[in-house]
Amino acid sequence: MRKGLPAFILRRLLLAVPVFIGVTLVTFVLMYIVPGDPVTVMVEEKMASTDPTAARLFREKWGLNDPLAVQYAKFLWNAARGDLGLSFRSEQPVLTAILERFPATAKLAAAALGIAILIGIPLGILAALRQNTALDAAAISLAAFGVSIPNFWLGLLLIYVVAVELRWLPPSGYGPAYPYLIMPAITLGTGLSAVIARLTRSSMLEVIRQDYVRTARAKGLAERRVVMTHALRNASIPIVTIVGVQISGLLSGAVITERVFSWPGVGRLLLDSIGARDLPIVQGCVLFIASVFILLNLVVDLSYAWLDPRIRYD
Amino acid sequence: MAAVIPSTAAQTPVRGGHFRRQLGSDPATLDPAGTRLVRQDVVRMNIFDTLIDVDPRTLRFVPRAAESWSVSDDGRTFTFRLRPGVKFHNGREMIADDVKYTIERILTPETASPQVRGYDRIVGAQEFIGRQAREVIGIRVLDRYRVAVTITVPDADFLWNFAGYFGLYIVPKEEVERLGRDFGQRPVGSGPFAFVSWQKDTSILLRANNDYWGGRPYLSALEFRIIPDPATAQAEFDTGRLDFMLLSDVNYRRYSEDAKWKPYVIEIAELFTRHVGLNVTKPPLNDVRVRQALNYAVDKAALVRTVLGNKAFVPTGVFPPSHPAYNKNLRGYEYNPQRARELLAQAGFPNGLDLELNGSTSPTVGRWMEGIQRYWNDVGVRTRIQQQDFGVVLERAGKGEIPTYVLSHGGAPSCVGYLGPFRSRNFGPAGNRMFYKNDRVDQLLDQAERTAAGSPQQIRLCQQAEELIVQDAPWFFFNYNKAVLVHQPNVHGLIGNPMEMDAQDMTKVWIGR
Repeated sequence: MRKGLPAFILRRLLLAVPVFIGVTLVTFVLMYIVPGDPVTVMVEEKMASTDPTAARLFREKWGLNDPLAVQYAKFLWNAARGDLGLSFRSEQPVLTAILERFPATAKLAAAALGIAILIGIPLGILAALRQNTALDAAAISLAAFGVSIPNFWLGLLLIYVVAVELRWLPPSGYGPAYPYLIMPAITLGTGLSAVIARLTRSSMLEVIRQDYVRTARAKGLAERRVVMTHALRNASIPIVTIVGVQISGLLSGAVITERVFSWPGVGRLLLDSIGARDLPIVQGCVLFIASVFILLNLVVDLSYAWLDPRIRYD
Repeated sequence: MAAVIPSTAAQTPVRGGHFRRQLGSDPATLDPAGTRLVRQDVVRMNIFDTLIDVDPRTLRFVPRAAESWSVSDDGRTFTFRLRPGVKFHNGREMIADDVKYTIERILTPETASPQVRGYDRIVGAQEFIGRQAREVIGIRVLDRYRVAVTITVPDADFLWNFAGYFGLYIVPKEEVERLGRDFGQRPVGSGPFAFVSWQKDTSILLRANNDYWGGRPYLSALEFRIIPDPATAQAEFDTGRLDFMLLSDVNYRRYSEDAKWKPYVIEIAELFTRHVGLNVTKPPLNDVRVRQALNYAVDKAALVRTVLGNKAFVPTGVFPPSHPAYNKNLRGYEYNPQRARELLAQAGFPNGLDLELNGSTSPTVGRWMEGIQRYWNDVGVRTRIQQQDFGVVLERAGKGEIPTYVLSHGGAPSCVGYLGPFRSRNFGPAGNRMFYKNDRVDQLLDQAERTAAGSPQQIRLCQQAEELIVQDAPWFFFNYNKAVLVHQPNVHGLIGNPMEMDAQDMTKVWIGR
């Protein structure tokens, strides 16, 4: 193990603590500033009315009468001990609710990322190697198109063509990867593949003009070796950075794709809970997303050293 | 109204089949003591039994777990006789103690049930809620099958707490205690279907209860698929993966005007009155002439045809045509912009006035508000639209912070319950967000409350109150919802239910070959 690495990891993990406190505090305050009391949202739907006694009992049960600071302190104290509380709506532990949805989120993110990398990186390399040719122009246009399509539109288009007209796949649902994962993964992966393709192209263009690439070619290495080992590895730092950021997004912000394909992910849970003012779940999801971001950024930073041995952690 | 196809209706029902229907979002809990959202109750009504049911065709009470019931002469004591042989899914027979337990569980402070209101009128309930009593003395178990419930003041509408898909679902104590907080996740009831599994945000699966007292349902399995996006639900239906689906104003015409689907479309005037609540304490809305002008100003028939895609009815008052208290002689407010301008001028606004129109962020409500805004602007009411979360709009309206709010009101076949928002005792979040007070209306409804539920006398009192309400115009009366569903050609037994189209009696439904 590299010198200074454990200390680096420890420092980063410790730095996560203030981040957690910050995001939960902001969420907490936001949820209280935003009008819409959890009690009002949990009224009888048909009559659209709330009974004062029921509202009082609800507030007592969930400690909503305490001053805001006390409520937040209680939340932090419990969270520090690993207890994220219970959902107002289901009375189930928040952690259970998140963990129930996590496999769906992870599967979708992994599949979308796989598609994005498989399409984005080769497309970017080809475009860079054939700069200013028709192929380059085609790749760039395709990427621009991919970035511009809204997910819900692409999703509904796929459902209409592939599921309703061709009847090749079911329109939506959660189950085995085939047939359920294909359309959501394509929907979510398309935009990301475009981002990766553009980034790979520009990064490759920069590297490919470097002296060491010319040297590699001069000493007679095969073009494939030159591109894959000497150029791509050096071009990959910005790509890894952006992929890291994007995975965090995939793990938390796939809510539109999840909704269109009835995919039971964390994003939908968060959105439903915000609507119902189910504060414990909202807090839990926010903490979860923050953890994912922090961990992935750490992984990305650690990968730099592997990609570029000149980087040191001290 | 209901599309009945004689050739198929005459077929003999077929047993078996896996029925798939839609929920728009995850119900979170199925505990009957929890919140009462439609998406929860349409599942609960299959797993649990209420004591009384409501026939969707007549909106009258019919027996369910209770084979009979009676009301004492003073109108305060309600005695239910349970049907012997009603069995919970764990095999135990339902007895009178279960009814007492179910009500007391709702009234237990730790349960914090939103349904406290329904039962806090029972003698001894307040003491029980206040932890001064260990049982509710007004609920008396008379013998194995008979239970009597006494309330503090006579209220004919009290029976509605026990009736229909929004009524009291009886739970078995031992299962509630065994499962604890998981009871809402793995419910055990006595209904025609038993709980099998629940994959969050994906599907809830039930199986037929072969020991159901009302006979085994035709279907062997009933699945609620959770599909949040309406466009996706439509694709699921079109590919045959949903057996029926409710239609919205967006896709209503696509099916009702398609010869292939038209025979399988069922529609009914649902017990919902869409309106704009007008806060009568806020100038200029404190002037009845301004409120009447707002009603005259809008061509509701045109909006129903265009903005609502014909999936609604033009209103004449509070009660929709399918309500027992519907008054066919009531004329309501016709489209008369000239009259609206005159009324505004008389009220002191010859040059018009400014008004904020508040509603939820739903795109449907947004389209409604734009339609209303156009007509109000025409008569000089310069309307500014303000959209916020539904819960926020409700809360602010309840506090009297906003002058207007768009809302869909209804659900209850009881005429007194339906007029609840017009009683001054319900100011604020309890429903009267217009802060409307008319002593005569209050008197009429107090009197109706003491009159036999659903009797001609009670309906007459409600209709008198409705006439006054329409004159006072604390609402802009917008439209009555037309509820519509479309089903697969091989599906039988679905009917139009004016209380809630989605609350289908699944014991009557079967899938043909």
